[in-house]
Amino acid sequence: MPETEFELYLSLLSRFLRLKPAQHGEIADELRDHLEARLEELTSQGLSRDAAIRQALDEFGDAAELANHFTHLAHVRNRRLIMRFTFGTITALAASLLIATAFWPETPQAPVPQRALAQFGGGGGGGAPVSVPTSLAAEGDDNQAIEAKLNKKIGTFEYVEVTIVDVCTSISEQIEADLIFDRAAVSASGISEDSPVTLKINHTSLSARVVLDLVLEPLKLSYTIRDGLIVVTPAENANQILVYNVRDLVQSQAEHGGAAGGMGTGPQPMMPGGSPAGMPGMAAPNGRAAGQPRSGFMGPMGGAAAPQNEGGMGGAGGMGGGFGGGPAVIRETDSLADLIAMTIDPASWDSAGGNGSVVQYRELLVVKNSQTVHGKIKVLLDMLRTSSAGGAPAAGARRG
Amino acid sequence: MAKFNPELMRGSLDLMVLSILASGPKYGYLLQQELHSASRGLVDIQAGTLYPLLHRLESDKLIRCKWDNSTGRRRKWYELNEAGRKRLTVQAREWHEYAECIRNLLAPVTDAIPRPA
Repeated sequence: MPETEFELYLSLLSRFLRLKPAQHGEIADELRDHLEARLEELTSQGLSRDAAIRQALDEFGDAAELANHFTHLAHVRNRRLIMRFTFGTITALAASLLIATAFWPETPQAPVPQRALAQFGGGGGGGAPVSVPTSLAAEGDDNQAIEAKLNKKIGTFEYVEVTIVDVCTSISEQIEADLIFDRAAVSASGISEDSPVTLKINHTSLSARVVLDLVLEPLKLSYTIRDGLIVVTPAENANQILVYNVRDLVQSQAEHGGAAGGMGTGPQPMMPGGSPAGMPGMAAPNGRAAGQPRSGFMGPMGGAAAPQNEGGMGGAGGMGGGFGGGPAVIRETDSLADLIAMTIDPASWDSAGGNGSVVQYRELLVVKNSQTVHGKIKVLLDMLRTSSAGGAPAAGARRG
Repeated sequence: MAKFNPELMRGSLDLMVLSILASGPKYGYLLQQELHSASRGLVDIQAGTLYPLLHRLESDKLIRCKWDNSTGRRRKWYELNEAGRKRLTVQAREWHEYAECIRNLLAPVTDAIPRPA
């Protein structure tokens, strides 16, 4: 019959263990066997039952320390699987650190509201405003430092049946950022923090942001950046409000709109042929002349090249354009907010029953969604800017 | 003779456990007892040290385990596998060379110490 003292010790040990539940049971069974065998031995030597129990437990030492040994062992084993750094990874890390250090003094930036106000006030319409989104919460600098760390490449890696907690810890250690796993919220959502992750990336160096998305998304987890920390939490809790300054995009659209309306000079710069996360084919031309997809326009999936549209060229941006010769879905919008909601994780927006929202307020885009979606929005806006920058001289020439 | 200083034994614990397992499968408590008697009571490995060590050897794939439910309580048996046997042979050889080296180094000192009759 199990001794109460032994069971108390084992349950205390179990509370300190940070292992899979099955491992808790196995360790308890093994130690219970030892304790009971020891008890029998000691009592057969004439020791009183109480003294024998006390001695058997004393020989195991502090439960927390022992649990720590077991936990540490398991983590070392997992880490051994994780840490397969290539020489290239180390070089890339060193280079990024060097670059980060070189530009360090220039990184501090003004908090968002100030920047937004300055944009409203500065009527010149000159250079493109900074496109970095900024959190409404005023921990700007800390959070931007985390944003920069998340963009670090972490090289090739191999996770084999590693718990999601350990994967997150490993990523945060590699980019030297603090990460908190919101255990309470995660378990309240019915997601196990011991969920195993298997992911091998052997030839491509991905940014920490992309790796986090890859491991968290299938488990319906996401992360937010708060007070300079990365907080991993269920996707439904991870919405974060960011404000994007899209003055440059809105202005160029206004300019083009006027020109197109008056003279029909051709399509405006539009989306390049590949949305950031490999969205389903969805051409989103703003150009008035974009009637039918041209059969010859079959850009590579996710291609980086931005199709430029000079006067009269027409054509549909996007990768759905010429596939299979079937009719393309062509949607048209003048609203950047609509464009984002149509192209990036459509189901995540409130219009489609999700809990994300995007509101365009003058030259600002206020977006509430997960970090994953924010990451895609940043890529999309950058692509739009690249595309606009290419088209701008032509528009200027027409005006002149 | 007094028991050995734990610091002195630290680097040899793996070797001791592997060598006890070389004679056949053992469960933790039995292994602890056999180590005690094989060392003539000079080596006592604490339970709190033994089990993490066994788990480490297991995760290093030097020993394998098997559960036995036939005795009324679950018992975990450990035995050497091929890799463990090889490791034991290599480490035993290394340890002998090391001991020989220390013996030679200390010869001037130990020769001066009178041996117990």
